[in-house]
Amino acid sequence: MSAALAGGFAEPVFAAQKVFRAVMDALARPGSLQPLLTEAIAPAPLMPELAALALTLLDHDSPAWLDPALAAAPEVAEWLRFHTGAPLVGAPGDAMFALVAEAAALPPLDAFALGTDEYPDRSTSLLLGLPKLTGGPLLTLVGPGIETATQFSPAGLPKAFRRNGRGTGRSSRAASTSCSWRRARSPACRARPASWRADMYVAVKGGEAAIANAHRLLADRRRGDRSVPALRLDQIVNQLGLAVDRAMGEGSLYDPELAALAIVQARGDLIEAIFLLRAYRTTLPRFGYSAPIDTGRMLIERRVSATFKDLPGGQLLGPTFDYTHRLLDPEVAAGTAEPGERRPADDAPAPRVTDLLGGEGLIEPDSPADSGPIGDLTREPLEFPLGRDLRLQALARGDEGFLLGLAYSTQRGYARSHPFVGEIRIGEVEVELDVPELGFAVSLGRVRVTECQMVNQFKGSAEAPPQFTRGYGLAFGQAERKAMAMALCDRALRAREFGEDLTGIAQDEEFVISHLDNVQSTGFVEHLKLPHYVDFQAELDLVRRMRAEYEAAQAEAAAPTQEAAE
Amino acid sequence: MPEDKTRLDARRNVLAVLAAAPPDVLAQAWQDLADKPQFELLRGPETGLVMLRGRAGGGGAPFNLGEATVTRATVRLSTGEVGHAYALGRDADKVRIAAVLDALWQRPEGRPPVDALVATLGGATADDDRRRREETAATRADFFTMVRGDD
Repeated sequence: MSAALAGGFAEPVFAAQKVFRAVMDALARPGSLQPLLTEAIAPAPLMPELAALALTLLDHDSPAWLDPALAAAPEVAEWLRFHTGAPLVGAPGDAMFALVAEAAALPPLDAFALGTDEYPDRSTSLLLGLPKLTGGPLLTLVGPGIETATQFSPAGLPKAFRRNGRGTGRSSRAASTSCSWRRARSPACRARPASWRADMYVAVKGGEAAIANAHRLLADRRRGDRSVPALRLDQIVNQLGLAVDRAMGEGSLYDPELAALAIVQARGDLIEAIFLLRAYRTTLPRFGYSAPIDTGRMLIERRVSATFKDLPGGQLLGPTFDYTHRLLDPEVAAGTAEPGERRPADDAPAPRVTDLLGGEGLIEPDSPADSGPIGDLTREPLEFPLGRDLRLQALARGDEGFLLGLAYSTQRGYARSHPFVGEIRIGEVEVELDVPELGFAVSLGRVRVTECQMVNQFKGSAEAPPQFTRGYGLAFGQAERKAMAMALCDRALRAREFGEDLTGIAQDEEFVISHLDNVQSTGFVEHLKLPHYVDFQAELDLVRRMRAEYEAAQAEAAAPTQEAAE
Repeated sequence: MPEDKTRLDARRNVLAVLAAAPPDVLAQAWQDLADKPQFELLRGPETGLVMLRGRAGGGGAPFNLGEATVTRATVRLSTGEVGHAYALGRDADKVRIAAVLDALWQRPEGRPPVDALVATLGGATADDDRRRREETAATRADFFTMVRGDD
């Protein structure tokens, strides 16, 4: 077991950066030889060069295929799983990367994923270990990245590589070098909505000192009067908990302390804080996907139903603003509060209301629990129409204000829904992760979430009898308004599924999902304030020309009238 | 190495309690540990993300809810046992200690002190959970429906 756990990079971040740089250079200069770090020690026959590339390029979201020579050694698979987390696939066509130790036995290239013209990055990248990169048959390389022609003589390169075709990616080899002779493809290639304006950005120079001073002034104003104590992060986590929850939910990153930092750094501007969290998350590797959380086994802090007053487990109001008088209270500023009252409680789990009602068949049951691949909008560009999985993910990280307005519109008649709150519950749930090196799921700790089940009347259709249908909301932290708005929007967006008339904007999937993300929205709206001088100059010239033509036409139209009058 | 069910459940519980432990409590427990084992780090501690999943409607098809920061570590004792730890958050020290304790638990002489620590930590969590349940129970409302028009 230990052989599979040893032999990774000693300094994973720095080593991976070095190897990545070598790969980028090899891709940018096809046919060139680049040195590779060889400190990674993997079980044979995975040579150190391939091991270094695997550690650098593979992660949990990049399925890898091993050639028969590598697949024959189970320690290799174990090593790769532990150190990279990459899922290993049996079919070369399912792989993002193929690791090949024995190039002579390479399958035909069309066995691998070839990508498409729209998504060339969906092709398999081949990592070939060759015995030597010199002394083999001389190849002449021409094409993108090569000014005229370059020569290269790898030994043992399969014949298939001497043809042209849709590029197959990369090649590397033993002997501490990496090389490539195909055009690099950007893995960051992303589809953009058709409505994107192809703005012409022209570089602006100057202003460095002003920008540096503006940042310094920002830091000064953020800190404010130095005689007032600086906020500590634990104060924010504890006393501005719902702001922290909102930043985590829409930042799509559960980490209360980081969210508190983002809020201070953003001077309390939550959209800026959310932007900071989204940017931070892109710097971290992904270890995996949790088992779906079980809200039925929640440590409940609040649980109410507007539809069933006598539900088992009871109506638990918890720390709610409901039934407060919304009168400003000067005592809050004094910072004193009594601890919560206590009453005997039982440990019995409180079943979800929707599970209680399922028996009568009058309420829509849950969709099947196992439904194949689960979409992830942080990994793949959205293609409409979406599945409900992707819609729920987008809604969960969507802007609360935007969703709240849409939810309200459904109540005002812009999509018939007639909703009731079946249940809202807030509390902590356990997060479990399947850990391959342990062979079982472990608990990572608990997170607080808010769940809302909306129940909506449904008149029935050719396929389904009249019943109650459901909209679902789930959000990080205590975020009741968000979860309710999400549930209403989820239900409205299921209109097509139920064969309902599309009468409201909240039912328009493309519109709702494309505009609910406040980081995207703010990016596009706020970029308008950045220098557009050249852009605007061109528009100004155009308007001047049109104005001149207009005035000339006016003058021409006026001329005969004048003559007639004379 | 086939682990029997009881041992596996016990180890899962150790890992769960260590993952939930407050960092300062675990640091103190490590300080207080009489025989600290020699160990080397095989991986980490490193911080990354785990995508948390929910289910549509609470019990239906899974979807990706959002990510959480998670820190993990793998250690090997000089005696050969390999320990793993994963926990929400970004506390590297906590996770390193947890991984060593997981490895130590696998040694016959290491198990009693780790089990004792886990029992203490688990008890503290249970007490805290009970307090919160009782505070919530005090906000239990019994709503009565009034017949409209009665007066």
